[in-house]
Amino acid sequence: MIRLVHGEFTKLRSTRLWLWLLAATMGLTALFASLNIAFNNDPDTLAPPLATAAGQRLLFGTAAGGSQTLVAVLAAIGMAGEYRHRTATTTFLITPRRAGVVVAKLITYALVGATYAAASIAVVIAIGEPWLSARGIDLTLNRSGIPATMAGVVAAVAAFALLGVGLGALLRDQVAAVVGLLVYLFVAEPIVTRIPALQDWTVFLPGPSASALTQITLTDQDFLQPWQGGVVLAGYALVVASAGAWRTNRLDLT
Amino acid sequence: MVSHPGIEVRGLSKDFGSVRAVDDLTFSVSPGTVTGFLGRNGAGKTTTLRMLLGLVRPDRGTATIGGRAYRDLPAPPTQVGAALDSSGFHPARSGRAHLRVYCRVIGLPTHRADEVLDLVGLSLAGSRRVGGYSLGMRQRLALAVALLGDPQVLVLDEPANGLDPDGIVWIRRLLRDLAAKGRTVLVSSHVLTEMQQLVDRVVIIEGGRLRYDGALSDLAGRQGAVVEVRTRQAIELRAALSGRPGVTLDQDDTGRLLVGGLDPAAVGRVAFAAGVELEWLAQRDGDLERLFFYLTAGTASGRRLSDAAEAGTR
Repeated sequence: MIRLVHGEFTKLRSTRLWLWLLAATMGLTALFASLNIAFNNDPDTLAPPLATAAGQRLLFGTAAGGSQTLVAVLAAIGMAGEYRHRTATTTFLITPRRAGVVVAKLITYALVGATYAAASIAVVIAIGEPWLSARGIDLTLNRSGIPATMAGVVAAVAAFALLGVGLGALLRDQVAAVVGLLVYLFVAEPIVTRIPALQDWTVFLPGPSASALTQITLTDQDFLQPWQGGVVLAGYALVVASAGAWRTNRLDLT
Repeated sequence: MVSHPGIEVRGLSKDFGSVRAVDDLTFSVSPGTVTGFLGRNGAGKTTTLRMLLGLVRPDRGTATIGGRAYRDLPAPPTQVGAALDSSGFHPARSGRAHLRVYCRVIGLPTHRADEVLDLVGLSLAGSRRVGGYSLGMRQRLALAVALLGDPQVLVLDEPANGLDPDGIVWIRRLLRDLAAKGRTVLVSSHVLTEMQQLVDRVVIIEGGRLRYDGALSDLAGRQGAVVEVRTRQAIELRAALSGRPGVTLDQDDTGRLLVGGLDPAAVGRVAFAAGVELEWLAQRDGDLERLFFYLTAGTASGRRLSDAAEAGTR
């Protein structure tokens, strides 16, 4: 398994997609964090003031928003790309026990996701620290709830990586997997979660579950307890990844 | 590790929807031989090879290498090397990086990638992106992947497809070298002439069914080398030759007499004894290409030579 994971990292490093998506992730996080800080003084904002722990947790939560989607996209391409470029034939010749390949990709992209999340958190600190200190506010990393939010960001992004790999294995079509992910996360989920009558149910969707992990949301929707969110998100990852591995194993590669 | 594993295909069948791609196919490949796996495009060759390699699930039957299914072999790529798809590369990845990925997974040192690049003549192109490779270069890279684990058995699907004449000569030489080192090679093609100087045995399929399994020389012998004769005294010569045991007489479109079962010297002696003057006397080798065409044609036109096919089937 270590060799398989090593192979997956070699695959990832041998093209530049990871670099572009890392740059995009960090850029997106920088944008979210800047907007958050710039408009925090706005009297209409729902956000708690940045001088409070809650306000700073919200700031760190933007790192997850920047990373989640792009890491899921990277992971989906990492899996479905094997079919798109027909490398699946060679990959499954070298490793005929195909579930091993899927598991290696799950491990690889979870680690990559955690790394992207860490990079995004670093971006938040790099932007927030000087900007807030100019306003006379201390960005305190060990303040109440902030380490938990950071851990939640890393866990949520890693879970989205698992979802991405699983979705790629299930759909096998790279474009369908990526478009499906984006449509779900940016269109379907935001619409459904804004319907008050459904809130009892929508808290269990992947996006709100990730919010539960970080205890942060940029909207006013409800979310579960962190551990509940973690369990739900892990459940999604497990179900989608298992289904993907099962499908991969049964597939006729013609 | 099995030192000299052979390939056994037993009753292999596969349907794709309503199409029977492979139909109760049985053949074996002896260790240390080069076997040509022949048939027209769509005859079921690729599906058979993919079932042998665990990529496609058979509906019925088994395919084993050294007595085991491919996926049950310990460290499969070090025992069986396969090149099935000359388009299975990420275009943005270099040839060397592609090989290094699989070095990592197999557990080989990464310099093995450079060794096989050298072996297939891609040393200079190794650091270029595969997207810029010609079809011939991609065929070579696919072969390089097959050779990575230094396997005893090679399974190659149309490795000469799309190669220029130089490339075909090159691949023939490479496969002959590998065979000389005792490797077992199963190589598919839809062009018999590509195989003629390369393979010991041929397995010919059509419509997913076995049409011939045996030595290439037997196949040639069966169709028979014939002696071409041109003479103004064809009637006298026919009379002199007819009735001899094992001798067949036929005539081609240009009016030449085709004599089977005798060598040119014997035909010459008979003609001399009968006082027949010959204008042309030549050995015509077994017309493999024509035989192959009949063997692989649909049942209607294949009928004429179905006797030959059945006689050759064990």
